[in-house]
Amino acid sequence: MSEARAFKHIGQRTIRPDGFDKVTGKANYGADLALPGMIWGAILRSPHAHANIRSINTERAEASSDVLAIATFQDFPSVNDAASAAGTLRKDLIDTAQNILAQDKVLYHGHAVAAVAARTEAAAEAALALIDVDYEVLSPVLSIDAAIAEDAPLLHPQLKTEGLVEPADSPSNIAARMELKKGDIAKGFAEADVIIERSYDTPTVHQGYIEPHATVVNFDHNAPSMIWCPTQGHFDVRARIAQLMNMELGQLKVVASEIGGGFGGKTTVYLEPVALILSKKAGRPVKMVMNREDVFRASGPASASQSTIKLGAKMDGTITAMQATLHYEAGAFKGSPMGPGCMTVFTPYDVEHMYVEGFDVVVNKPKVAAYRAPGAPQSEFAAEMAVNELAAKIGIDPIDLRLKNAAREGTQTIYGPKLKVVGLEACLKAAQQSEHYQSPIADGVGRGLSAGFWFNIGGQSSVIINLNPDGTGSIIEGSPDIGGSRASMQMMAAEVLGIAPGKLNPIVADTEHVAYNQTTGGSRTTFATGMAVIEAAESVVSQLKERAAALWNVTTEQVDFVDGVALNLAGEDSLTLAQICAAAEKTGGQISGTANINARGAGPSFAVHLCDIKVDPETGKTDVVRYTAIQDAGKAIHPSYVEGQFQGGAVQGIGWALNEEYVYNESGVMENAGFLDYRIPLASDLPAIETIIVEVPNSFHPFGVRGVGETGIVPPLAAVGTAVADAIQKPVSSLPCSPPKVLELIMAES
Amino acid sequence: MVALTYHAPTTLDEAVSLLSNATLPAKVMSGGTDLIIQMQRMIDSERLIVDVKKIPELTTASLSAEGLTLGPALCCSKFTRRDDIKQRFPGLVEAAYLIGSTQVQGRASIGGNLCNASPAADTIPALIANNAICRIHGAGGERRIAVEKFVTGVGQNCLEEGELLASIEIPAPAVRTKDAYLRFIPRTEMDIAVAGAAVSVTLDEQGTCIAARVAIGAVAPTALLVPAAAEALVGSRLEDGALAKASAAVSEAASPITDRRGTADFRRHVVGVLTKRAAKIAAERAGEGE
Amino acid sequence: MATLKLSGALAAMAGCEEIEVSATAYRGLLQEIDSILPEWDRAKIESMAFVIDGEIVDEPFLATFERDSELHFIEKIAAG
Repeated sequence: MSEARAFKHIGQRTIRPDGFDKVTGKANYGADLALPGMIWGAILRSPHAHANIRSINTERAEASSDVLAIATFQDFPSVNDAASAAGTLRKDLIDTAQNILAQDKVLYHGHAVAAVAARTEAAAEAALALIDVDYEVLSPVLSIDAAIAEDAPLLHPQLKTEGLVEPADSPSNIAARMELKKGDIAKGFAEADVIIERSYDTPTVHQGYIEPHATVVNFDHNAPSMIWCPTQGHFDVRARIAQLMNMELGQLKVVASEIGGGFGGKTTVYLEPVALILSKKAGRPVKMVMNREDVFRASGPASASQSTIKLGAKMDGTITAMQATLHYEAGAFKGSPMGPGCMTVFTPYDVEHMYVEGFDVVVNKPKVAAYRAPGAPQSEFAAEMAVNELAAKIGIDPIDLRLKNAAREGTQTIYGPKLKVVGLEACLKAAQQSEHYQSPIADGVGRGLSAGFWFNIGGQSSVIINLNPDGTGSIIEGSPDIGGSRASMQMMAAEVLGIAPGKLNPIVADTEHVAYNQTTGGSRTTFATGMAVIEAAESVVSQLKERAAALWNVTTEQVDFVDGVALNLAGEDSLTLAQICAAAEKTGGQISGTANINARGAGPSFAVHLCDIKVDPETGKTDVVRYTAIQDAGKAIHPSYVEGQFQGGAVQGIGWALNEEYVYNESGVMENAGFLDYRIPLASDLPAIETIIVEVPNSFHPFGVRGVGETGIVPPLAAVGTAVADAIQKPVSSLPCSPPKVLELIMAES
Repeated sequence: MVALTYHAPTTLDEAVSLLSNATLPAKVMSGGTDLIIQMQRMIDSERLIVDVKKIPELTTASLSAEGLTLGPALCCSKFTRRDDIKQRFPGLVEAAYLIGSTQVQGRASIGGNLCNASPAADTIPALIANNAICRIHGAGGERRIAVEKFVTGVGQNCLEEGELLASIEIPAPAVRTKDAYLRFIPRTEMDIAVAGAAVSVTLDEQGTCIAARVAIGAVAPTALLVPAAAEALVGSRLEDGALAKASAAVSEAASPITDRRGTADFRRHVVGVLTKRAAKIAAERAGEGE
Repeated sequence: MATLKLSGALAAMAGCEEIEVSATAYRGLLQEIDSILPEWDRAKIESMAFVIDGEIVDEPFLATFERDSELHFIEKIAAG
């Protein structure tokens, strides 16, 4: 795919097929389903951030006529006491199960402890008071520093640090350590003329999807039990429930509702297994809906982090050494994105000597979930802030410094592989030449920029394309559409089939009606599911050629297929796709193409963001006055949605950098669990985010696609941080740059 | 969960009678934008709601040579569209325009904002700066009290059982008098004041400040009138020195807390900045004449 | 001979940062390392992604590579 290819539909800005239902309120989201006989479930949540559960007494609830079912940890047959006694305990599921319903410890304020089902939502809420839980309250551990302190209370008395050079002999709140090396870091610093070392921190933030978690579950003894929920991966929901409940995959059918945002936060399960337990016990469909407070207190935020970066460079701008120590909060259970944080931190740089050490730290906060390029915004924030400071120190333009050291084809990454063709240099040059970068900086305004990297993934996707006798058809896929992917699938199939995209109806099918699809995440859908769509469409094209050959009584080799029309190379005849479909009955039946693939060759996407911020010197209030996102899309299938992904990533990253943070009191209770005081940016807060789509094709994808969904959230943190630092002429090291913190910097002695 | 008894009287006397004879805990409802949220957390099993929006005099505003008589239940979106009122009291109108969102302003009222008595209420400092008086109607008759004395604590006002806020009265300002209200929020809208300051300034023909009232919000349990800040302005032409003194006076008067919306130090500092800026805006307006 | 590059805990365990291997397929590679490094955590390795000349393969069971390929095991990338 090196030669430029002329596309008919790819690159156009078609109307999204799901748009009308969404803007008219017809689309059905997680909380929109109601079934006959349905009852409501509610969750009893921990009032403590850290406590032992001495006992859970459900007797009063059981005696209540309002209560139709109760669920506790003991209802997970894979991990309960009975499984333990029988020797069938699934150790790998314990954390997942304990996060869904606490076993013998609550590990964060809002941790689910038990659930009840009742006829109405209000009755279920009221019945929670009938469950008596006896807690032994423990001191909460609310920060990395507190967690790694010598005498820190332990969240998990059995937890020992994985990945140490010498295996750990005593328990710790550090769940894992990772070390990555390249070259000889000491040699790198010895070669440097300039060395800087800085520490940075970022807060706990939430993905902030507008739709809260919700589910309707109907347990069925005689047919697959139905789970309806907004999720990025309904096949993964099915797998997790099957594991937790010791059920077969065939006993479950998961239907992905429309989804009101996920950003990584809907790649896990919270309510679904609980609703299944309640539905099974009550013999009725059960609905459960989180409110916004529950979402903040008990669904996955992104890790808070602490990072130390040390850089060495020569006066000509050659970076000789890059070193990082990264700490990530995992929340209540191990498993922060520390690994990808370590792997991405220095990937934009082709530097000989690097050393990275990362730590996964448990604290009494909700277990973190993936958030758009998980782990990368935190670590790359620190690295990019330090690189900008390095550029200033040696007096070189920050883009020139990056160009001099930019990762390119063949660059050895610290995590192993060498990069293939990548678009970082193209993005840097586009940024340098942009009107934004060339424009003068107004008084009182600071400018910042940052590069950003995310890997992107491939993986399994399955697609069926069915054509109707009139030449219309459907694309049956299994990738929940969180960013306009149905439009992209339509366009890619239309491109191959040579028909208008609107002739094809894209459907995200449930787990029964399409083969396995990996979760929508890792920026994989347009790349991998798109690849499956192209393969299925190509299969359809070869069938169309066979059918045309049969109609003309020629060989398939004598048929060409161009722009939706079969051409008889042995004569003058031609048949449109619709005409071939109309005759399908007499040439062997209806035409359908399938593809089941495990896509390899996902192409990384690099980005460069530019940010101008005005700071009120008397109040520390920030105002983003101009912002440009430049990113490599490989090939933009639907440019508007690619731009939308750039803009969405930028806005979420700006929020992370400026005002978003979990505010905890000393007891570990989040004090701003609502959108009033958890301050995501409003439309009126930001200028229109300008975009520049760079297209350096990914040779592994037929159309050159690279995933674009995640990279865009990586650069804003340092672009904003550097712009604020530039505006106030003081170093910035801690996010968010909220007014009180910025004012304190302004008023501090230089 | 609350069981409600709901009445929507059409006269003030009827409303007072309902409140005075209530056997249930009673709440007066105007737009309900605060009350309905609060009711979700109420534990009382039964409540009497007296909706006052159907009482004509409570939802009208009249401006005359004597001043403004404001029906406390008039919704903010109607109030902020009154150009005649905006001409006289631009700061008060700006404060009303900051409450909640466009949608909320279709229901929310200034009287509701006042009676709800949140320390961060936007209209209260603006009312205080404008010398507003509350006319209170009860079974025993009427009484009047200055706005700064109406609010007695966080979420508390001086209304006795059976009493109702009948109107808010603002005397006609002297010539060359104008107000301004500024609040600090980290974003641009849909937020609650971290600090707020309202200033009313009267200038003489030469542009010297001859009278002023300064009120601050979100930096103490109630909005505060700060006479020392006003004194710093009177006699000056709002030069930097006078503004700095006013600024220092409000910071001194403030007793803010640290919470999820901001730190005490930050609030104390920013309320001074807002006061200075609001005083400048008010003075510019006053200088521009009617 | 293909080169398997090792890093982090794996390199620490092996005591070196690269191993020359004669295998040309993932399955053969695992067997070969079993014999070179009997104490390695094969289950952990099998849960990781495999990198062949810069291309990340999440499910490498059937993967093959060239005699001069450069190979890595890396953590599977989380989805966001």
